[in-house]
Amino acid sequence: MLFQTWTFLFFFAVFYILFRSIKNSAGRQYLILAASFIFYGWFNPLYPLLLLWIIAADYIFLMFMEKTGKRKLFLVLSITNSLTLLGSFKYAGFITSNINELFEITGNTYRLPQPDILLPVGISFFIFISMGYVIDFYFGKVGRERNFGRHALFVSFFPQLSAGPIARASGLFPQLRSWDRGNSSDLAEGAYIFTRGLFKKAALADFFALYADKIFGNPSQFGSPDLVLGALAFTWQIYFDFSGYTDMARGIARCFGIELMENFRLPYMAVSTGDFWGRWHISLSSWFRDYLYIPLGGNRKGKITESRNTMITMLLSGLWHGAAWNFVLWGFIHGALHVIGKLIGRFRVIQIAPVFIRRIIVFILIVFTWIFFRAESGADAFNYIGGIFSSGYTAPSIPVLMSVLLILCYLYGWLREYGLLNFLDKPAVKSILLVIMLAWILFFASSDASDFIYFQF
Amino acid sequence: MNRLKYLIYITASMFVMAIAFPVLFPLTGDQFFTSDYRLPYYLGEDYFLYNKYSESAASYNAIPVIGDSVIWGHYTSATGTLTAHLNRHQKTAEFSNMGIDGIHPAVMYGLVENYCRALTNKKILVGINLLWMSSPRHDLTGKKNSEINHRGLLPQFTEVIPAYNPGFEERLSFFIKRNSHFFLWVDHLRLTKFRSKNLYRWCMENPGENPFLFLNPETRIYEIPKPMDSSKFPRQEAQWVETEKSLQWKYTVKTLKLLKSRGNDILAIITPFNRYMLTEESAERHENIVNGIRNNLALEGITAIVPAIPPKEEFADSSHPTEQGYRTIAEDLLKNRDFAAFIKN
Repeated sequence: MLFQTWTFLFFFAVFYILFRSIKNSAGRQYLILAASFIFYGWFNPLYPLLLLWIIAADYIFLMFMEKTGKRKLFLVLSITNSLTLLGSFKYAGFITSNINELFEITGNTYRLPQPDILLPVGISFFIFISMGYVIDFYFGKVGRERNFGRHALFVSFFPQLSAGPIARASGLFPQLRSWDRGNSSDLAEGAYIFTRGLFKKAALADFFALYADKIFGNPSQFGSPDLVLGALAFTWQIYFDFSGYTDMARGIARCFGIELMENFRLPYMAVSTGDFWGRWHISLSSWFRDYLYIPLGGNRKGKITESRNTMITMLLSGLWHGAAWNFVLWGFIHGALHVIGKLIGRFRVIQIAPVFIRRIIVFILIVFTWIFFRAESGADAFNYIGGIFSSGYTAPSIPVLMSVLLILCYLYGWLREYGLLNFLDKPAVKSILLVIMLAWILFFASSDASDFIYFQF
Repeated sequence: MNRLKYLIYITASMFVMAIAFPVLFPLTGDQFFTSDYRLPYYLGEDYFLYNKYSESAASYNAIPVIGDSVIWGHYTSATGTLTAHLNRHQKTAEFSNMGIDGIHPAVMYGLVENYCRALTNKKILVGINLLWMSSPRHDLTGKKNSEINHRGLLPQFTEVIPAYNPGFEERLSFFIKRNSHFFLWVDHLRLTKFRSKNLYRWCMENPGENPFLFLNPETRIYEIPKPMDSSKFPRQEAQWVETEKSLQWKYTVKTLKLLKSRGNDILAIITPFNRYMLTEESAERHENIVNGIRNNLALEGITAIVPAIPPKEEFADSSHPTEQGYRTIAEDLLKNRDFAAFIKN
């Protein structure tokens, strides 16, 4: 069930009315739990079984961790269970095809059968939510939730189920425990955040997608200007697509009185690649930082270990995004950029460089890394970049309106970063913006609901 | 207080957009609803405009003629349709062409149910074109058909149409849109005030154009299709659907009953079918169906007129007359006593 469909709005309206009419806190909790399973089952009726498995297994492992004292054993069992499921559904095909390629290279005629497994929507997200909770409990950062319904709701809460944000136990459990019915302000703010997300997706991401798909679909047909603009269009497409989804998720949760964590903070205004990861998909990057990078030693054991940890984290982050080598390469490039950035950051010339120059340079680097993310393979990405520098000038085929939007989006980021647009956060201004955004969506955006890019992860 | 103020701001903004705008700025240009008006071909799905047109027809006491492309006049200009000829050849009453191209009777039921409410207690002429019953595919009793026109007006949740089997999302979106004045208005503006329905696709197709040109629609002229050569009409064996099993018949009766329940005085016209394109056996079957329908409608208290079949060369295809064909039908109707009584009273 996509957020930008009538089906979802109908689903939301029904459950919101029921939610507001139930006086009992436990009743509201079970209602939203039921809603979450219906929401997930709408994609495929078998998906809820997988979700239930993760919920039940981690609930039991946590119980044994607490009751038997064998914390490490049950932590390992929980992580093994989660990663086995993730590996089976997400990476089995990737692993098999790589083994088969290896057989081919070595002249072996044997081939493993290619598994035909459908990747369940949001699997990487809810598994990470549950894993994070188990690890937090292991390290004593949070207590165990004894109420099974609340535990289940924490993992399956429908606004964050299909593409995050990846909730933390310390952030969501306290809200679920003292959950009231929400108020008029929550509804108004939720509606505004949701509409902003819908605008980002339907009015911006889907527009940029038309041009990005055209250019990436056949890059050899275009000259340098189109290739550069195609990469820029994808840069904004993926941002508006994912941050739009996050806004919609946060808006829906807010209507129910829950505040989900922020996932984006003007990422294209970053002054370094490290800063970029502190602004882009914050719930995932902080997950990798807290549950992988820091346990590996973080930056505590010297420069070489820090670089190694950075590379491992970024490679796995790339692999999390998709079971394909171009995602691994994308993660590798980010890791390498981060390590190099740290190394050259010590030089005086870098330190005295004006912040705005650093923002622009980081933005350009990020645009190039998105080429690896969008291309079908690493070779395609290199060919694309090669084309930028070798295919010469031809008049670009980008629509005038899109060129204007590319400039406005970047300009908006700058003005927001320096606090020059804070007046937009006033309630009266937000109300006007809401109407403008809805009007734009209704009159100018396409009426076809398209999938979100991050659903495939 | 601040919380309340925020909600009030948001609610007021939504109210202005969803309720006040369509009423204050309908932008239908209803000054063009003259006696020979018909909904432009490219606005066939502009139900907001259709609704306004029916309100307009009701306000000046015209007799609306509802039906499909035979009433609309697929092979003729607006001045050559049945209603235009009727208006030209008598002064007793004025007729409004409220036909729409391509509407199956099940769609017509949705159209009448939702957008003809202004016509309550008026006289209405209903055109019945038996083309729909000429095969299970046309009748929508056949296999799934993805080329149904005006699918948004078909019953979405209440009844089963074998040829129409969309997902829940499509059904729900049609259901909401057709019951919302605001969404109809949005669609109306998209169809009438912009160069195409979709700004983004238009931009991609015209990358170098000034985007403001999108807000400056071109005049779209209906190109009248070329009629078939009557000397080469092939003889066909139509796969007539039995009347009692036909969706056309079921929804025609439903529509007529709905109109009667709204106090409308109804006269049905079974528009001539091109029997020169039918085999003898098929033509005979057609005649039996026409007689059956006529008798059944009489039992419901509804008079059905069957005009004489025009000459071969006055047909453009299996069911549509040419301009001359409309003239012949109009003249025939004006000689009919039931018709004369209907328009006089």
